[in-house]
Amino acid sequence: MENSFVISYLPGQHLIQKLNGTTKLLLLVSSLSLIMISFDIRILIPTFALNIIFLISVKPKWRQIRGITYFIVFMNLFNILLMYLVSPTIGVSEIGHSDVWFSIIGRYVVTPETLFYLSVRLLKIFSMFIASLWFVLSITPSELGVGLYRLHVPYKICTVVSLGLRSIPDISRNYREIKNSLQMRGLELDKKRVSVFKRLKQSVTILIPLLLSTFERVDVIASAMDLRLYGIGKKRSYYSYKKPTRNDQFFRLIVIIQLIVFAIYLVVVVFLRPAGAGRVWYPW
Amino acid sequence: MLIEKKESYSKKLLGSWDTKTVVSVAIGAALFGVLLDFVSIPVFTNTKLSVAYLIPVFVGALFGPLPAGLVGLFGNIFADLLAGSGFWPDWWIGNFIASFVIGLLPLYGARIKDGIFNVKHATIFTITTIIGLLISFGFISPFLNTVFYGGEKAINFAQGWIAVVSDGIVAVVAGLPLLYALTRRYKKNSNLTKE
Repeated sequence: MENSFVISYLPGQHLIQKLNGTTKLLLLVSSLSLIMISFDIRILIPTFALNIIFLISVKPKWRQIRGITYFIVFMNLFNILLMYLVSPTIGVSEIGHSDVWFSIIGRYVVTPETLFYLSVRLLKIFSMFIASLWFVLSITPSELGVGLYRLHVPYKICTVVSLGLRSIPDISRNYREIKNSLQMRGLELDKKRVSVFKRLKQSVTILIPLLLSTFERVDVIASAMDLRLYGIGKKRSYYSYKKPTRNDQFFRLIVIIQLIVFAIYLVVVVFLRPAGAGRVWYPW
Repeated sequence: MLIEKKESYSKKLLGSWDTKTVVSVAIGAALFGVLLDFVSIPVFTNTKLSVAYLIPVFVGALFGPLPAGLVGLFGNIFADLLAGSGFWPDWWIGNFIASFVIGLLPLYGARIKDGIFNVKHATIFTITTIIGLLISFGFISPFLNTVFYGGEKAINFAQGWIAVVSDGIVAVVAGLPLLYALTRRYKKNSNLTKE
């Protein structure tokens, strides 16, 4: 199960991995907000390219991300197909005018607007996927905690994030042990032999010991933290804090550019858009 | 007297943020993430029956709505970080609201830690849970998904409603026995009566 985690718990050696936690976080937030708000391929294609460059610069192992990439690509192609089947003229209603090429059967007509709209949607999802992938591959739990703290998030929330992420391998090991021991006592987990509701009941059977054994540790951890005077001061310092370097300055410049584009898009397209005009930029 | 009651309401809503709450929310969110990613039963394409929704019930019963809501929020973020399958803020927000509403237990007088949980509380819990899931996954998440990623409305809403049904089943059918079991466990420690 640990092998199927994509997140790494070790600091990496590549440029983006060595950045300050706050910079990574800001870079992710600005990229994601740009990807989510814009339906304009003039913005989406550069953002997609930028995130691809980030991902390649982390030098991911193909074996590590192969499974999830296939899954995402398959899932979203399926989703696009489903979107077309449910409303074949979705692009027409989003863009505003229609120009039918040919019709397949009944109401299933092929219009360039729909194809364009569906590919914009696909581009948005893949950009978001790529952005999340480089972030996941380059962040460690404590860096995420420091990064959030430097953005003035209350430090108790930062502790929730870093402590939670850090305890996930322990929990999944516990889960495996409990599952194995219950299977030894005769719990049938074979997908083909038991019905869905029986399997739901069985996963509750696994969950109860997992819940108890995990929350038993809460007292131990909380006491240890209390003994080290956690929560006494209003501020907190971190061992894993890295001072921003020249590289950070460069990446923060990218962040600022992205946020400026975001703000301009927000004002021009989202707020000042005339009523009835589509939010999708369409060249023809 | 009145002011005191008001203060206690805001405190019930926010929960008391001592070290134990911090650690519980962290561990709860981690558990939520692991359960969401690995311990789920595929029912239908793209829809899974996950027992993760028992965690907000548990944390809400012991610590109140805001800790429960944060368990839902960070749990879903952890699940996305672990799997690397992209970030879906629409579902983060939906999970936050749903877990927050599920965790409203102390507000209507169900004090699990003092062994107080009866049929009336169980009924209110069932109703609020279903309403919370309807608001969050039935409306807010699909709406945000349409705004953020431009999906087809009907499909998004269908996915949302399937999530409402599956999470509702888990939270109510498996959650109520959990709440009763917890109440029994705490009742043993608190058989003292107040005079």
